[in-house]
Amino acid sequence: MKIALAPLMRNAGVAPLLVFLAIAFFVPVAMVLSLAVWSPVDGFSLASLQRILVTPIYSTTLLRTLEISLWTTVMCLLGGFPIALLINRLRGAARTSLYLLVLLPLWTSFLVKSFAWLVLLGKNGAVNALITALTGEPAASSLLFNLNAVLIGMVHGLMPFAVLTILPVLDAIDPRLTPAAASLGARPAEGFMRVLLPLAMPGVAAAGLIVFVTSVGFFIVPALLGGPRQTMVANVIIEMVLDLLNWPLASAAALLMFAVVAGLFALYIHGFGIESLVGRARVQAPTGAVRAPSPRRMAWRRWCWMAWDRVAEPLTRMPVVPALLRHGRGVAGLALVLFLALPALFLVPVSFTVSGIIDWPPQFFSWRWYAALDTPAWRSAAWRSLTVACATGVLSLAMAYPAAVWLVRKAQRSRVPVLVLMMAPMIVPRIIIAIGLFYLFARLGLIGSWFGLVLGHTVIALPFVLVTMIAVVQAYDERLDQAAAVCGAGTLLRLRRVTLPLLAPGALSAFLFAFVTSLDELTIALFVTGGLSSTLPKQMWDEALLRVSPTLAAASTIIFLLMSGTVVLAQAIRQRRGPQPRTQ
Amino acid sequence: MQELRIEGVSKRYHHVAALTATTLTVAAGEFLTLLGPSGSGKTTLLSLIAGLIDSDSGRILLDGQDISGLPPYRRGLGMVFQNYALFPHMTVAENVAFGLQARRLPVAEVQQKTQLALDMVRLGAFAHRLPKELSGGQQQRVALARALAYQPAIVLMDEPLGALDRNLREEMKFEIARLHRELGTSVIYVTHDQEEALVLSDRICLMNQARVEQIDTAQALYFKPQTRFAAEFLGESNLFPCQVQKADGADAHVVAVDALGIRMPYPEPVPGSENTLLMLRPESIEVGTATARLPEGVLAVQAQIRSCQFLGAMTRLMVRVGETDIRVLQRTTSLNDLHQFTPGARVQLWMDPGRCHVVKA
Repeated sequence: MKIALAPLMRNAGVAPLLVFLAIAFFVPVAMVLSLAVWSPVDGFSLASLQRILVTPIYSTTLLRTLEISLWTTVMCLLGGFPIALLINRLRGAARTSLYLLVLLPLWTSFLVKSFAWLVLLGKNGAVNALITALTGEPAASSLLFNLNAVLIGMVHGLMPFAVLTILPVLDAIDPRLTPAAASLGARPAEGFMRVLLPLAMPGVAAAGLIVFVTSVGFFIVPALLGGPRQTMVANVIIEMVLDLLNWPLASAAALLMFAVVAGLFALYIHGFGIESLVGRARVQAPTGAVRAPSPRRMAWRRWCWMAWDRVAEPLTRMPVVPALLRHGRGVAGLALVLFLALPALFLVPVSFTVSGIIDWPPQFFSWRWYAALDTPAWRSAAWRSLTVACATGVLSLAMAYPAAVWLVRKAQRSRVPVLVLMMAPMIVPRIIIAIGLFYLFARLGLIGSWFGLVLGHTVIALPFVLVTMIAVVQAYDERLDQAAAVCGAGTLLRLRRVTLPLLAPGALSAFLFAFVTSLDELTIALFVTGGLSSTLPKQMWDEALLRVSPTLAAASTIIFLLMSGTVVLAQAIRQRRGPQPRTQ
Repeated sequence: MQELRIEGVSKRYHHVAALTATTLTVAAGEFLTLLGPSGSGKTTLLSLIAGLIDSDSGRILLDGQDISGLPPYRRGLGMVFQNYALFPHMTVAENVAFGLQARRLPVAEVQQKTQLALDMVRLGAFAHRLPKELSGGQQQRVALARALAYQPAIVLMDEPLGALDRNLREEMKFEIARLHRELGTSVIYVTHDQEEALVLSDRICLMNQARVEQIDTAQALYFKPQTRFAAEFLGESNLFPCQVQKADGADAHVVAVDALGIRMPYPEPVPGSENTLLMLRPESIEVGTATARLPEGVLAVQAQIRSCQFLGAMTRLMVRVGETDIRVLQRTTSLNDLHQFTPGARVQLWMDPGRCHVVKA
């Protein structure tokens, strides 16, 4: 009996999370994707896929989605890398505050960020007001509802993800390698191209992957800031599912989106390994005996290097590169503040306007838009959002902690595949998860239920919570527990006095991140809530589609303050009390 | 071959001096060690020479050329970093070739010199491995090969052996000495390990509290330290407050040590007559035996043994003269020697004035 139980017990920690993901993620996603090629009535058929690909309106939407995503990715990387580098080079208070300046827009709701651009780019918006003030001529038209506005909104929304994915990789690079390259006679441009950039490549690729994958499934920004010609695949899917009830076509679009994403993900894993996606919380491979590399790998490496040198060599000779390296910091810092951090703040004054429309400068001073929020619909939405967010935090933490312990301490060969499974919700576009859950919940009668919403948000929050918890568990020195045991502390005492106090700050910040994720979540809510059972983001979305009024600015301001407070709190906890990563 | 001259170079961080104005010269082909406790400024000095940090004042001259304004990549030096700083994404050969490629040498020459450097550190068979696939000692050799591959006139080494275990450190010490001998490169070597400094150096630059305490050969630094810090940092020493009086004759002095109740002639120049200390190394004191005769000129002092540690070839004694404790290191040649060292026993200490040395307090 004992023998049979041992492996079960050893792997018990990872079981709840995997079972949960199977039920709430893999099954619904598989079900909904299979609808693209199979239906209970017609059996197997490629008709829907074919229709998507040949109907011009759909195929152009597909191509446009890829095009917008590609541009968004390129710009996020070009803008995000210097910012990450700037933060990486800073120390102390400067680093902490710039880091926060990235973290805040990261956790600011996409809705709020998009509303901010409405304020900035609208016909009577701040940018036009500035142009008028400078040129003296009244601004011609709105800067909104075109490709530029969509790209600005998407790059603004996603660049923080790029920065925070690249940063840990830069931080892990030995800071003496650049001086070492210089001591060997390499000019700064050369050192950058041949040492820093290649080493940062896994981070840059991961950032590109995450930004691209998120863009492909994006609908908020194109819907709010774009015109009809900026409609993206996700918008089409939402319309097909919610308005046209055309499941086969929606699934076909989702399947194509999934294929692109899965292909990119597979390429990334092949090139860099899953571990680099987990960032700092790297699950270390056991450092075994010295082994000789395979000749095939060597040949591949040599080829990559030669190709890279071909590209890098002329680049280092371009006169612009040294100048960029010299002034990059200042430019990056300015971009960070002006572009990433500032826009959301424009909503705050607008929320106090007397005027009935969003314009700039706002006419002060009135609480009326806050008063307008005091309705049963907004109140119940707020209450629902808060309770769902709390439940999501608790549920995801309860599953992620044992799984993290298992991954760090117990997992052996199955570690990497299990990690891939667990990070999958981060990679599969949210819109696909959302329609999958919609499909499943409709059959289980969970649409419009509080519980269904918690399940959906937990799927989304889990990868973030897991990454945080892996770092927490990794940073926890098991010898402290052993030391306490040697001192005579029993299991409970050790838990109370040693283990919990050391894990608590990290766990709390993981909880808060789950909380914020849920509070911000719109995609799942769009499908899973129904009737009166709205959440805050859903309520704002409905309102925005109806009429863009300063009410949204007021709601955004409240959410923005709530989220910022939470994020600053989580960060403060992490920095003050969190276990420091062990130095190697 | 190039001479390196450092003139009045200093560095401050906020209000803390990392290096006060320092002047020194490293001759072509010389092995100079910067020795000192942590925080003494040795790594700062090395980083200033390499150009990794900018100095607040002073000049650094390489063969008469001021290089202090040049970025590190134009100084043409080699450097072995602490913990090596090998490029983790490049193979051993690529690491070693890096400096050669930065100098835009033709491909064939790069290959040839890389091979030469790898053979020099006996790593030819490991050329295509990544640094993480090597042991600590092998990584060390790669770092050496990388710094030496392009034959820089001066190689800077920042605690290159710090990360190695004892046996490997021993081996690498001789490896570095051999490379220095064969290549004739100047080496500026930072360490806090006395033994490394003694074995490797032509001269040692002893540093303390952000300044140079004394620059000398290992022997001079050991036997003729100028300051209390130098006397205490290198080896063990007994230091007694003493007064120096001028005696007849050109350079002759008389040194009086009140604590021991002795006066002795001191034929050498003294660092000043105030605040002086008499240094006596533990191994320079002998415990007189009843049978042997006191050699001429040697002073005898009555003492009592307080404790005795048998270390094998040597025996460490703590003896007391009046109110002063003195450390004595005595060779152990027979069991009988040990019998007379029982705590409480009264013995005679023989002190040879020729082995005494006066330092600044």
